[in-house]
Amino acid sequence: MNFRGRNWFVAALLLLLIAATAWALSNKPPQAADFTFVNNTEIRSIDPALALGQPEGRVIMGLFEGLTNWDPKDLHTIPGVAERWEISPDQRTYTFHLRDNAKWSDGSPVVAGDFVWQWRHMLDPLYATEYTYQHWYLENGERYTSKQFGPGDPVEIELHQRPDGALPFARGKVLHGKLIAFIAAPAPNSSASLPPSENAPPQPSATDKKDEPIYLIEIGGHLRAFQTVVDRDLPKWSLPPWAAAAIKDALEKSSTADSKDKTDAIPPAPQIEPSKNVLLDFSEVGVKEIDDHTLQIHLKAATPYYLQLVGFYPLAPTNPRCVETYGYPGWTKPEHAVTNGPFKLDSRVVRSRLRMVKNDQYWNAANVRLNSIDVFPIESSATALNMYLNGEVDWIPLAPNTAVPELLAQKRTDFKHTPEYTTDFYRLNCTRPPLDNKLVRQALAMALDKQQIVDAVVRGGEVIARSCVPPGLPGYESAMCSEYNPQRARELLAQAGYPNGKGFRKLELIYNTDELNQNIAEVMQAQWKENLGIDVGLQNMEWNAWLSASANMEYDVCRGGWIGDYLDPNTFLDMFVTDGGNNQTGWSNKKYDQLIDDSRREGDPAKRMKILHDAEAILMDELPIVPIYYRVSRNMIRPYVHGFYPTLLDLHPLDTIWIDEAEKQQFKDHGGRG
Amino acid sequence: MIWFLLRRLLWMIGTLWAVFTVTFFLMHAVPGGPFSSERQPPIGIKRAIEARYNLDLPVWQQYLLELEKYLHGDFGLSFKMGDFSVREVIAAGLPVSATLGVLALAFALTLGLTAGIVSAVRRGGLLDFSLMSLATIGIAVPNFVVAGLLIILFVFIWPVFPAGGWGTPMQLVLPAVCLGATFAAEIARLVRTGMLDVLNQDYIRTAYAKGLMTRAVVLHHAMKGAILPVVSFLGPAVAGILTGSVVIEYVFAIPGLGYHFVQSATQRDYTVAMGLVMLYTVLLYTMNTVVDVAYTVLDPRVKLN
Repeated sequence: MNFRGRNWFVAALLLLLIAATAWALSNKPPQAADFTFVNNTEIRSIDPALALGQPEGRVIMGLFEGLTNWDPKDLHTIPGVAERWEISPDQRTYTFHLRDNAKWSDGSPVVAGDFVWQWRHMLDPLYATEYTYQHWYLENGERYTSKQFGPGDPVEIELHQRPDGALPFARGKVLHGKLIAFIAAPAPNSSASLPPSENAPPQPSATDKKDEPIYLIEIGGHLRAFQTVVDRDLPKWSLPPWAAAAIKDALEKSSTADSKDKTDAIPPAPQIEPSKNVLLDFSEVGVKEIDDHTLQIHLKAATPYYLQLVGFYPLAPTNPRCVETYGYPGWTKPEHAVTNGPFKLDSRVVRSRLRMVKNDQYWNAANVRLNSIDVFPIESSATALNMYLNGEVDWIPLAPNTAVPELLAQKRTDFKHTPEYTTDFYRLNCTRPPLDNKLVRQALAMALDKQQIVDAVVRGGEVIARSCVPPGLPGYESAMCSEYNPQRARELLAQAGYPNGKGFRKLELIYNTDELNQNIAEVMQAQWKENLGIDVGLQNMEWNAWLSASANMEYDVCRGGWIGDYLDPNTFLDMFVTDGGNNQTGWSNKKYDQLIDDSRREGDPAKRMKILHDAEAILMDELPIVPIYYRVSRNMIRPYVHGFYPTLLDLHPLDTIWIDEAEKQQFKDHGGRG
Repeated sequence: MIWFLLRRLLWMIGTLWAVFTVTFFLMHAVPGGPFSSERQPPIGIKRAIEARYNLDLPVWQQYLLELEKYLHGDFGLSFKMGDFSVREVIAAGLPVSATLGVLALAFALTLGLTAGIVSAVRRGGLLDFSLMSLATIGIAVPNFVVAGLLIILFVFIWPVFPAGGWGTPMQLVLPAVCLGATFAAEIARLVRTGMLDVLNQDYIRTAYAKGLMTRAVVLHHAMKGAILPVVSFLGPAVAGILTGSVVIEYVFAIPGLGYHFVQSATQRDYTVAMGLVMLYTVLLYTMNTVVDVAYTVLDPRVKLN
């Protein structure tokens, strides 16, 4: 090596080092926010429609506001954008009166049309999201998303071209008409064209991709034909070869059906036009803008918790002008985002920090006391706890469960440890023998000493669960399953034909990889062995593998849990209706389905709760799930933070939070840590 | 030289394609997807969501579509952080990981070279023994243990550094040290071995015979040969350090590429995971090429072939 070579090497390295350090130092951290908290993960989006869970909720509840709000103390419904409302006697029509001074952060008023726009957007199958089904409570909401319509129904056709003068990301031009006929494409493998079925709605199929169907639609007295084409395929779209014959066929059929008069001329076959989508006409869906400040909602059935639901963060509106100007994800950038909540988006660095600042345009801004909030998306709960203990953040919503016994032992007053509307349970696969036998399931449940699991393993002050719906909601009494009784459990198992576990096959228990889950599973394994003499194999699985094994019912016993979406037993109980997406046990009970259905029709709250209780009693007798314990929250929050209350859903609106500066200073003077 | 680089470039394109293909099919072979969740939406909605991202198509069709997008330089939006594109995620993460990496590398080189040379010169002494024991421990102990120890020491017992986060220079120190420690240990051992090898050579004896000081012999003559193993180690190490240390970034909540990498893999964020794998491939390939070129500069015995 010559000197020049080495010097060059060293010099380059030094230069790089200086540059890197300079870059690091030049990124001056923004001034500390009034209030800082750790969010468990980077949120999927600030778009309410795309919300998934609590992390999104914490941010979206700060940035947006729905028709109603949830009281920070007990989450009862309080006015939001709507200052008052009327409910029809049959509880199916809600008229919301929007306040005059509700404004977007750009100063424009929040109007009824903004809600209609957002809800239609969420219901549109092209933009459907995880929480779209919350709008299926609306009359015809589900039909709109699922394209359930037949000949004679009013339909709307969205074209690819935008109306003149529309914003760059606005919806395509929309035509309204009446569906004359629906012509399904022939199956991809058969060359012969199938007879067009007129009543069957198009069935989107995951496996066999066939051509999009053709819709014959009458628009303003003219017959037109449309085929749906996705944007990407538009340039290479051409008339499908099977179309001409199929249309002719359909026209003949419909004209003969229309009139017995055979002399009636069959109308000429129209040209097929490409369309972005053909949907049920949105005017059929139960949400109407009466005027700028009046929104009328018509529900499919009386839904006693609907007022609470419209305050749920995924149902908050977005600003149509903003979204249509910048599109997604452009509009979510801090420089573009327009919000209507107590706060607005100031800056955001992915997986690093999200800064919200007070929204001066918010109608209740006078009562919002925080000027800025920093949200740190930190995945590791141990790191979050370190930062909290070191005085770097004011609130962590989830202390690591391994630290909970220690935190409890220290009797820390800043550790908020309160019941949650959450149940942890194990699913039993009711399609696999011997678990298809109710007696076996009852025996398994009764042979578990849950108190031991909670006291010796979980050790976080959880309460053992004997019901699916957690207690704590006024007006509802949970139906309980039997208590721990190993003697009775053995008898039941013998009754089922397995005395002392003889002849009982080995069960496979799966859980997602986690120390706590493993410890619980090991105790269950030991208890079942000891009390029933049966063998259980444990298998831990990576999160996604566990999810898909559960969804596909590839298990005997599977860890599960449910966090209530809203404060009503229905959020737990409608999970177990036959073939429900979250049932995942194969369990089916006609009477149960009927009761859940009845509860949707029952207008009297007390009677409805009784019906739900009866349904839960069936569930707790049949036991497709074995409840283990109800979860408790694990918030840690500084004593100088006020306006923060324990709630069953562990949701905490940010607008009521305030900091006592004197107390904060005092805390800082004492080292600012601990 | 030009031909060598051109050939390498061609090979890189082939490698990228192969890595893309293998990664794509491996990713889609593991169970679950970006939209699997504990809460299953109604089946119609799930289908609509999957159709929007082409996840309803057969895997090979998805592969062709993705490949086409990549050829057009479109890396897509993150599945799990939809407000950001893969480009934005990388643009935000790379400088963070690079800064941390360069600091860690500087720390590792300073400590590693010094310790290695001292050990070699004081061979068999107490200093050699203690330094090499430390280095062995440094290699053997995983860096999250080092991180845990340092956090207990410098965050809780003697509170000088913050526990995590990104933005201030103080937040850089602990992660850089943790990240650099293992590399420092590796470098120390490599330098010591290389140095001992060289110190026994005839030309070193000649240098001594000419009456040169130990310092001059070691730094000017022996270093040349001793540093070669370090250079070949540094190539992949730099690539690894630049794309971030997975564990360190997780423990200190640093928004670098390593953090994104782990999360994208566990959350099935196909687009981000693919983007990072491709970036890593490019970096690794480039660094290896740079090492090969550096060899010819540093060691005249090596010729590019």
